[in-house]
Amino acid sequence: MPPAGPPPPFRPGGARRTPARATGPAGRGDQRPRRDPGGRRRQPLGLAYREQRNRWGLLFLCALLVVVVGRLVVLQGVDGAAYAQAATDDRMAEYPIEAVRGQITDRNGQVLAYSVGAERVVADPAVVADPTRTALALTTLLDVPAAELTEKLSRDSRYVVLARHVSTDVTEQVRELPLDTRTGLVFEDDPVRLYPAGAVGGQVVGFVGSDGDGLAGIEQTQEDVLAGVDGEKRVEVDNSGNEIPSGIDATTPAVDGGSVQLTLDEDLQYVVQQRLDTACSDGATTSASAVALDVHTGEVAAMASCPGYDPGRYNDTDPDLLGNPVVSDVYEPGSVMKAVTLAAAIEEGAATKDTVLTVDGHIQAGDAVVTDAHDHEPIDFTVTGILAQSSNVGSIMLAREVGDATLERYLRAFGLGSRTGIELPGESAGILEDSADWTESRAANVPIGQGISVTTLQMASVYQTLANGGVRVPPRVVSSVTAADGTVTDAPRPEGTRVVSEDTADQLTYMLEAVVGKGGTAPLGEVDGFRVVGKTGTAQRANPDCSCYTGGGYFTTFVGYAPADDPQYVVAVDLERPTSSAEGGQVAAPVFADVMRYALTAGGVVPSGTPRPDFTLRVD
Amino acid sequence: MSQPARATSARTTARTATTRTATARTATTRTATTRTGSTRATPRTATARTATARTAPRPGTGPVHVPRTGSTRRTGPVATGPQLRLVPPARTTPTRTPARAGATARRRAPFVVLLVAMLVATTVGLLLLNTAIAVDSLEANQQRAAIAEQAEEVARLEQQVVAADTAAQLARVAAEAGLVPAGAAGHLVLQPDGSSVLLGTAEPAPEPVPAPSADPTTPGD
Repeated sequence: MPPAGPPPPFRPGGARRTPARATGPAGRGDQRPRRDPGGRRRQPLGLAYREQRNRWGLLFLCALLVVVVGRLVVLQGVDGAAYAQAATDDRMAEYPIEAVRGQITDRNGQVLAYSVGAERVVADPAVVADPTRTALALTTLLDVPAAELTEKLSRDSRYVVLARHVSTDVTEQVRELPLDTRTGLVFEDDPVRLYPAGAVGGQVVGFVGSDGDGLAGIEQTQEDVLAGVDGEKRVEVDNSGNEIPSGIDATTPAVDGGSVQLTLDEDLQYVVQQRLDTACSDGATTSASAVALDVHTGEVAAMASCPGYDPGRYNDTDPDLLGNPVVSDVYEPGSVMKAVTLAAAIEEGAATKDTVLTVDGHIQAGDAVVTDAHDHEPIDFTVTGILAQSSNVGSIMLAREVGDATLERYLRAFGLGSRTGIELPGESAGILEDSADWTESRAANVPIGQGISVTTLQMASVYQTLANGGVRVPPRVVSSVTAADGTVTDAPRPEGTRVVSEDTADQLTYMLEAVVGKGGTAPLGEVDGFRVVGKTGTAQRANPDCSCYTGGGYFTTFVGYAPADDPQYVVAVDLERPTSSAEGGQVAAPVFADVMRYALTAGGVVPSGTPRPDFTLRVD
Repeated sequence: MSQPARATSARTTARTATTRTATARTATTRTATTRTGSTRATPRTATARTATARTAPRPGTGPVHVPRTGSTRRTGPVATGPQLRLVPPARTTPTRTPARAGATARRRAPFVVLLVAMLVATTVGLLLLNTAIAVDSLEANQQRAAIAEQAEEVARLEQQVVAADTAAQLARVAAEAGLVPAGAAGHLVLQPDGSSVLLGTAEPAPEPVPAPSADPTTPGD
């Protein structure tokens, strides 16, 4: 260890013999070489003490250093990420990016529902300088009374919504107001949902609530597809909130909602809606529903009821009307159910279309007596005649041959008593009791469509099965889903299930054709040039006042398909007429004919030209 | 600095003398080995010195310098003192420093200028780049605003198209233009044998309801 002081001056060898400064405590002769200089300096007692003090000092300094370094490590290494994050967050500004809700279109791409960008005008009353002047400036632009605006702007709050769904060109004008007038106004994304078709298809499409969630129809069931995922713009900003170019940009883009294509045809939907509105305005009809299905795919081509509603004005509509009666309201179908009874009888081998039965005018069923529409002497009806003349007694006779349990099995196989699974909310399964619980009168009522409740859609599905050669395809209304990136996904299609054999279905088609036209109950159901198949129904409507059938009026129905030799469309119509006793063939059949005519003509269906067969209805 | 001096004093002064003196060293080398007579670097190595000791008694190889190596004379330190003292002052001559510094400064000048130039260039470049970025960002913002405006315009126009394209609107406009819905269609169906059958009765369309917009010269808007 070198001495701390300056090096000793060089001295010639001779000078050592007479040392001028004999600092050493014990001089050991002149000849001895000098002692190591370091050793000499350790000699004073004060130095040793200082050495120890320095050691403590050093230890203290080291401890301080360790503390400081340790703290640094904690700050930088352990908590570093959190502090860095806090610092970054301090510089970041966040703005929400609203995902654009997807479109709903019909099968041809006609838009039924879509969203356009709009803004919500919000104010911070604490910042607004002069509420009255701001209110006056905004009243014409926002179309809100000035008094209401003044009241809102004077509130003791930091957030008031002045107007919702304001179109962007209006907010552009608001932004151009003088600075002192528009201070405190903020604009937020608030896309508005438009339904250009209005009430046409409104019940199927549904509507969205003020918070942007689907509350009815397709808007509700396809919410996941339509809604999309909101994004967030997250950028580094400077003091005054301006975005720093080339700064941190952790923006999450919004994923727009996908669009949903329906199987509806807007034109057919329009015609159906028009026709039903006409029917509803005849004075006796309180409500009416109609549905048109594609025979081969079970796709819903049109589905409407009256009174309908415009989804764009759902706020002003009676909440009781904001449903879709086609799928949610049940009624007793009446004679249209006889097709199922006869299909069961034929499929079970109890009869063929030409089997002859001697039918009385009435039949005892437990404690009740069921009569035909008009009591008559015994007639030798063919089975075709029973259907064409809609004989209750004949149908009950056939049903008894089949048996209650078997009949119930067929009813359920045709989809009655269970939901069709269509992509619409609030679907009803209808009411079908277990055959074991049927009373004798109930067992006589079910085959003729009383004591059983169905939806219009279920009834259409029954006839779709017969039209499709006995294969039932559950109805669907969503055709495909197109994601925001353009990927098209076809909606899943349920497998068709065979309910009756093709031969049975053909016999039913033959028999049902006898209903429409000469000799049948529904000559008005004819479509000129086409062979139409269908069945009328007139069911007693339960009187809500007494829970009985007396004075309840009727549900008149007509369900059918065309053309008979190559069915394309099934149309089911039902009208609720509490005050009228008119039969289905008189009021429902014309609606059916008009809808079917348009569907066939617009659908490009050409009649084959085969003649309508001659039917033997009764054997004399 | 004092270390070598001490070491020499502890040992024999005569040896120090021989190593430091050029003449003595040369003589020893020649005595030791005949082949390395011309080199001056080798004598400093340990082998050379060891060789000297071994070959010393060998006759006829060297002159009379050998006994002198072995002798220990006390007059040695006197000779070494001045020689050691002479060297350091020569190196630390104060008169040489300013001249040298001047030369260095002259040599460093371009380097400093280069550094300053680079600094300035960097600063100016950074400034220009930042300005360019700011300008681009401003432009990008303007373009973005323009795009948003165009998109809004497109959305507005699309809205009009969609509104005018609905079935209800088309039906209304058609009615205003004096059109009527087609009635039942008649179908002329060719049979396999070549004959044709007329199915359905084609009804002529009903007369449109007379309305001011039914006038073909002023179609409805």
